[in-house]
Amino acid sequence: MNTRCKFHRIDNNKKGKVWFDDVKIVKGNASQTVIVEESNYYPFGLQHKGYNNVVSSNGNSVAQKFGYNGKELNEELGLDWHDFGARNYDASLGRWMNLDPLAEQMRRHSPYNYAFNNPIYFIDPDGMAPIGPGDTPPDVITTVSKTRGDKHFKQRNVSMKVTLSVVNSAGADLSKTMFSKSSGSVSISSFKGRADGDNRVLDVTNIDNIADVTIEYNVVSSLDDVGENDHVMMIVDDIPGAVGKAERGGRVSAVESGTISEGNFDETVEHEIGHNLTLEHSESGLMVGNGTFGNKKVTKKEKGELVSGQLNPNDGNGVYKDSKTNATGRYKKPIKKQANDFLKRNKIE
Amino acid sequence: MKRLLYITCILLFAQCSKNLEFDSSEFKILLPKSWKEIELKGIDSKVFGALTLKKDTVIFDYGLYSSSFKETIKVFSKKQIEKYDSLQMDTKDLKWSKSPEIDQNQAVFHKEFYYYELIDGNFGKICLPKKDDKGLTGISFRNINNSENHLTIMGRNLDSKERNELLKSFQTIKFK
Repeated sequence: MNTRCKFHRIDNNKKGKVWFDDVKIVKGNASQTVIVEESNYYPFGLQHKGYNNVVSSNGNSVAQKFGYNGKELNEELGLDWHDFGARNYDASLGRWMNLDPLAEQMRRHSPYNYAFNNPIYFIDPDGMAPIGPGDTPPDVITTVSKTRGDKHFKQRNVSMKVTLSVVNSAGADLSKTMFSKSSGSVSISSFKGRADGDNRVLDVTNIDNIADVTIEYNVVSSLDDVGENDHVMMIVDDIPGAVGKAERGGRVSAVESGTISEGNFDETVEHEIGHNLTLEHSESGLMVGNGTFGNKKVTKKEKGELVSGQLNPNDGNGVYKDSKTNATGRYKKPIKKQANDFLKRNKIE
Repeated sequence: MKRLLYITCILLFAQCSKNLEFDSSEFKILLPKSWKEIELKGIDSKVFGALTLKKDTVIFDYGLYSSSFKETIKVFSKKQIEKYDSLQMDTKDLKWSKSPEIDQNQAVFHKEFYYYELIDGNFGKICLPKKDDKGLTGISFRNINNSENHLTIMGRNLDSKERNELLKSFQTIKFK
């Protein structure tokens, strides 16, 4: 065992990235510190021997299964495949072991290649489609970290960012609402906290922590200005028999402008966003359907529903894009058509 | 004269025993005569309310978003819980037993029973508390008459008399 310590020091106080090579992690006092795991990967994910020669098998055997890209390594049948959610991946071959579910959208590429054969540039968070560093069009982006557990019980840290176009064709005064600027970012605190999910089909229970749900909004005056992957909320003068409406599990919603003067606009907005993010009505709190305002509580079970609307219960650490995972669902039709169909269906003029 | 008195008595009796009737453009239901209708305005669905004799509230929610009673509870084995504890995971609210598969299948840890009944051509999932006075009593119809609309009726912590009255009322539901 190498017993020396190696210190790296920056001699000035300027901010900036510092790159090291030949970093050694060295065990210090044997009674205080124990290095139990070190994982090093080739770009395609095959594990290679560490640099420090301190890899031990004494660590947590379950936690250690979550390795390359935070995905679980399934060793049960001697296959050594990584479970990415949508597909299984064999890092020794650098190939998927299942056909690409979105093969028709990427016809220039083999349906089995991983990250377009370029894992230095692209990642594939869930086995659906590769994502490049500049490939971040507006969407619902869900970031998962600190995944722990096994295939029946998982705990994760989850953050969501929803890109929302607020179509104010009615010209309502939004200055005293959550959409007071022409564009901005608002956090919905009701959606934060413990999220309990339970999927009996897959036999997975989740207790996640929603660290944040942020709405990145942009106020526009016409549906022509809506981004293709955006969610859309229309401010309208009249919704027959209601003050709000939303497609449950969809991307379109509407809120009456009259709720601004009644002081219920923000709560109605959050209620309808809840429906877009798959929530049903509940007995009390934010999602109650009986027009009672003032209580914005969202239960643990409801937060679990929010998470399951964006993630599979087995999804591990990574970044998930709703437009990829639901490409054949709520992103199949152009958003403008979806919005116009919604208006027609709900008789909103 | 006698006949007139007889008819008057019948009419008075009929009036006294007349149930409270909810008659919307979507469905109709007869409720106990001692209950009173509460005026409610739904945010994005049609919502009605009824106040029971003991001042509990029963809510009727018709539309796209009404609750579907999705409660599920996983039952773990003690060995699994010990494993998750060793991983320093939060197991405080997890349920476990010596026969987890059976207990999970029998919904032992649920506070309510669930079953389906066919009412006016639609299957409604009925939810009933296991213990009197505590829990949810309700019914949830999904995609009524193959439409996209749902109806959920629910009241919490009703006593056994009012719970039975509500259960009888479910049988009077007529969809339009």
